[in-house]
Amino acid sequence: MRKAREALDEVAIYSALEPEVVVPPQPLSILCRGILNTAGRTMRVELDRIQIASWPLQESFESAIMKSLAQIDFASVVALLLSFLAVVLGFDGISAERERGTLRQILTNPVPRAHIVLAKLAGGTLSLCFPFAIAFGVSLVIMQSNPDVNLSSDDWLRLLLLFLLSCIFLAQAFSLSLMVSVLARNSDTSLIICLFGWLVFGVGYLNVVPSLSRYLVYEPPYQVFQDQDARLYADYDRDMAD
Amino acid sequence: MADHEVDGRIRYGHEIGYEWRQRRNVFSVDKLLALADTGYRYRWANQEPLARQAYLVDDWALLSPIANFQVLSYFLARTTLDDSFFLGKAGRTYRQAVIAYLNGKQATSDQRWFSDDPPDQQPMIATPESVTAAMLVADSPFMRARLAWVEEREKEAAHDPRRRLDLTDLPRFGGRWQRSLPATLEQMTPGLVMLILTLGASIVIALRYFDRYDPTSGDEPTGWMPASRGRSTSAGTPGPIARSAMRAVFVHQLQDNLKSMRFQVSLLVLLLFFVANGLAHGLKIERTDQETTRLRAVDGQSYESARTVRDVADRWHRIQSDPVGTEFIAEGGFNWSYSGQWVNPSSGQTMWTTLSRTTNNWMRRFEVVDWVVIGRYALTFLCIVLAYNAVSGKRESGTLLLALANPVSRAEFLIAKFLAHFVILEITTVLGCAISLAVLVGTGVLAFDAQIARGCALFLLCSSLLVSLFLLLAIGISAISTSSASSLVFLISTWTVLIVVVPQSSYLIALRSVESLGAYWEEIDAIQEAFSESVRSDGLLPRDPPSRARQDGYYVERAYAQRLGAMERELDAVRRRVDQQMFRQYEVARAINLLSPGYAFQYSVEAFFGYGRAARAGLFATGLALSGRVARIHPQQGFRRPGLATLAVPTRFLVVPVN
Repeated sequence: MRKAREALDEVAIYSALEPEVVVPPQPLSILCRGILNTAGRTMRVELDRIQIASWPLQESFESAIMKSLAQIDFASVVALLLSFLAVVLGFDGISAERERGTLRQILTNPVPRAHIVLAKLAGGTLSLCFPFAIAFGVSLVIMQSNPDVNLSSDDWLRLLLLFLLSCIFLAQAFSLSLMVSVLARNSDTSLIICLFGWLVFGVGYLNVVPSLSRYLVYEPPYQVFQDQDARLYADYDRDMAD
Repeated sequence: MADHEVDGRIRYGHEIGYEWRQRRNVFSVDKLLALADTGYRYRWANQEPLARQAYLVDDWALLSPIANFQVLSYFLARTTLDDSFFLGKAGRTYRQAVIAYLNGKQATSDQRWFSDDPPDQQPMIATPESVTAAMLVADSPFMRARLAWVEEREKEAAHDPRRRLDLTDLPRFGGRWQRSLPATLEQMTPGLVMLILTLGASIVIALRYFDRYDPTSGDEPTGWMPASRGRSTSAGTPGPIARSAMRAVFVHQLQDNLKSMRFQVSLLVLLLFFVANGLAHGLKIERTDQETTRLRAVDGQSYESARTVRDVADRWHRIQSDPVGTEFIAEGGFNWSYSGQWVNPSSGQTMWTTLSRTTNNWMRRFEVVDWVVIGRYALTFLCIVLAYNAVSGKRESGTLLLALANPVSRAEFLIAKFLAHFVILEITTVLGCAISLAVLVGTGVLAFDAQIARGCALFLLCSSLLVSLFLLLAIGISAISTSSASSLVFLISTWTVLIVVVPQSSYLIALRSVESLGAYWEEIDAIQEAFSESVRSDGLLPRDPPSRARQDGYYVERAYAQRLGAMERELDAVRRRVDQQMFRQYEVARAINLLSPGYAFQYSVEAFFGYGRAARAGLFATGLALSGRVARIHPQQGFRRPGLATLAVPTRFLVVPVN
């Protein structure tokens, strides 16, 4: 950003006026990388070129070879690993009680059946959310200790929502595996179903759907655009020569 | 030479020249603005489908709770593609504001567009009518005197406040460049609804079924799901007979497996992965072929226009890696950025390129589902899910005692178990490969030949090693652990660490452990600036018209060419250093990935096929070799076109010369 400002200071003639807009990085991108880089984003105002989307700053753009590697962020940890934990915790919620015979004992008490399921759900979700809350807090502290990160009130609200969202997601993952546990009766079967669900919807989905979508929507070759662009500039040069 | 240029600013020009420039600018800026609009339309037409692909992935995320959560959190963090477009839109609005500002100042028809001369600046040549062409030559006494005058003026100009452009009223970038919270929430609505619905539905279903739940731990499960695993082990064939005890265990296990739902589901999932692979790559191969044809056509056309070897030698050539035809087995990074390279034979420079083939930059965070990825994730997972209770399950159901009572050694028992699992997994893999091939060959995009057959054989060989490794691990843990459940939990945790966590953290570790690339871009700028500064201060700019230069044997031009060469070598050194550094980072990440058996498998398949690292090195070597070859022909000026035939480049690469 500093560089962009210096460049603007040096402008002495109008034709050199090509202000570069550099917006601060989304602070939350530390937790949820998405498609954008944390390094900051930039838009260039040029007379002869209009950008479609913002670009990451030059240096992060250049190390593109590293993009062939998988990258981890907080959101994918929650999505893949904590949901996995939810599966492992929830798969035998009901069936194991039955197999051990403790379910009968519980049911002899004057408790409505619905309460048992709901209590299980609440307990499981809490025991998932508690370690998550600690991890979330720690990463927030680390984030805050970085002087470059300035969180606005809007960002704090978003962080809160992100936390709530994660908790609901964990509750969802846990209740899905609890549901399987009720349906499958047998703990082993339940675990297998849960794990397959996790494999297919987690790992499988993230690998298969992008491949399919990439080849379901027709993409015009880049060369077409390059040709068009070259022709535009050739026309311009010809016009100027006249 | 009737004016002086500093960093693109014209100084000390004559009024007449300035007027002409002003008229020309009004015309050219209008043209440029129109060009920008058309260029943007073309660019958008080209990129819009790529954006649509990326959006589709986010839209379909609704179907998977895990992906749905990820997309929702990206919405919250404002790091989706949509947010990049949002900023893009704000940037375009700002561009309009800047253009309006320039128009308001009537900047294009103003002298200030190209010159920072104050209004009362004396021109370098006060009376252009009286100047002859001979006087304008760079080393004529007249020009020397004028240049000395310019030198004098430059000293004043360096700190003349009037030469600074007043930009205090330039509109600032502002307004909405990122989504507000309500807008984000609106974006998130479908995903949130889906999240709440799934959560609610799962609770309701759990409650409903639990109401009718039989709490007794009866021997015969009566759920809707036939839990055949337990049943089939107890209702299997009678104990093996002495003569072929091992074979009997093997056959028994095979039968068990085929009857169990766990196996059926697993195998179905594996086959589905292969079908997806066939479909995705069928479309992909078709598209890559079209693109290759197009690149070749451009290649041909470009050579058509060349007249001399110099035409070819003195420009950037694009060397493009060509698909090998087995990408559906292992993509090997064919999809990553460095699919091509620029070489300039006359200066010997090389540069990686990212843009010759259509790549979707917005989809880079995903992998492509090729056979290797299926093997890495699905096969290894199946090994564990299938074999986690190979021993412990038998013990729990009591059949282990029965089996070991027969005259079969414990080693033979384990080997039979292993083989039974192995055979089934391998048969399914072969079946999956066959389905994928059938889809590809059936749609006519792929011709089955010896190379592909060899590829399949290599893949099966590598995958059988991977399967053996994970089966042995699973059976081993199953024998050690006290219960099937603890064995499964341990195995799945190990799998998650090896297959998911290690590869995902390699990127971060590599970035931290290798020094960062630094601001090498500034370094390149500095080199280029130093070059133009030194050339200008020593008066080494090539002369125009060249007739004068011919008389003194082009000495200025030669000195200029020498400096240019030196600068290009310097630039090349920086680029190569950056390149090496990036490659080192990649090597570190790769070394970490090798800790994961899944990646060891992937890298060995890639090595067999000559993809990935090997392909990149090969591309680099081809570039250098080609550059050297052209450079050797280059000195023979006037060499006619036929010599170009020798430039045809080896089979795997095609060369596309561009201007």
